[in-house]
Amino acid sequence: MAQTIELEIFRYRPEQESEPTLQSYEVPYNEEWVVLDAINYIKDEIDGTLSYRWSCRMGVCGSCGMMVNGVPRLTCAAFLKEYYPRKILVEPLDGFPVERDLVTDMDMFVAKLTSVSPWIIRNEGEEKPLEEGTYLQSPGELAEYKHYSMCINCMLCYAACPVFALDTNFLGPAAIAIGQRYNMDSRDQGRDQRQEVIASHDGIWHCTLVGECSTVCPKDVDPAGAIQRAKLSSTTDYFKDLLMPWGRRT
Amino acid sequence: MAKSNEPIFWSLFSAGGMIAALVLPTLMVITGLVIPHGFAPLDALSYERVHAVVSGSIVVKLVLFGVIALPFFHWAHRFKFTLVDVGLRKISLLLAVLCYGSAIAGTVFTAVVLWRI
Ligand code: SF4
Ligand code: FES
Repeated sequence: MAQTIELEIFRYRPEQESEPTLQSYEVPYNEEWVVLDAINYIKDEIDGTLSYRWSCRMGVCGSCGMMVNGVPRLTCAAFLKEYYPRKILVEPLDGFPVERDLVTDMDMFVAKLTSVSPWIIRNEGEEKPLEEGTYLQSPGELAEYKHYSMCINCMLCYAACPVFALDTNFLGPAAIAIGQRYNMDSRDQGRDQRQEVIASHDGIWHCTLVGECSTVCPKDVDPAGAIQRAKLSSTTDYFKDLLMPWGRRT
Repeated sequence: MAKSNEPIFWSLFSAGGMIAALVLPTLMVITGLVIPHGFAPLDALSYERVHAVVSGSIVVKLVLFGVIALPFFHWAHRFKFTLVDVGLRKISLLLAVLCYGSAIAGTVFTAVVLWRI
């Protein structure tokens, strides 16, 4: 018989059970398969009731994040051969409420993301009229924020963050990194507005620089670095305001 | 959203961290290895010499003050967050008072001792 591998999958169907359970599935082992392929196999061939999110299958959409043997991974980038012949435990992302099986409720994350106004903000009246063309940017200016802009909102960093696990009020890695992405953008003028959220108590200050977010990030966004930079610049702001209150930025 | 006072503690924490990472190991090597193992004259750090250097210069006193006091704040911040993270979140205000209070007490004590030398 062809080789197989065992997947143990977190199941939770609120209409039929009050507590989550684990269910085991035996799937064919294929060297080229990723965990998502195995889950798709289960859904198509063994048990159509399994619910989970995925879309691109190529590490771009950010929707297939799950806990694989306790580590937050994009299941489309986690190869079965990394685990074979051990069995693989698949659970929903840590830190978020579970809606059903492997599907988590992302509302909390979306609210955090929206709170940092993740778009380019121009001062009133300083918006360039369309006919004047685009805002030009040098390669150096692009390099300032480019790696932050690679974030695919997969939330792996939240699932890895022990601070977020203890206090979900924490704004968290990706939202701060994305805030920084716009703050560092030469075309943007919205930093002061974002600081209201980022420099607040629940913004950057819960972070104790554990660094797990940067370890698990599949896109090398380095949210931990973004948070450190935000701490430094917020501290500079704070002392500037303290020493030179007349120079207060509006 | 309420403005946070965290920058005060974070900057003291960071400054203390720099000292804990760079200056304290150097001092440990000098006082723990170099001198006891005879790589430098034994009396290089004799009481009389050190006392003369410290008592004679306000700059040396200020440097010592920073080197001694800032790591207190590094400890206070780290320790407070560690206690909060192991489950004492509910009393985090009390912890802040105790930890930063100890650091402030240590700082005042350091200042008094240095002043008197
Ligand atoms: S920072 Fe990295 S881990 Fe976090 S959401 Fe963005 S891509 Fe995912
Ligand atoms: S399915 Fe899109 S990132 Fe994995």
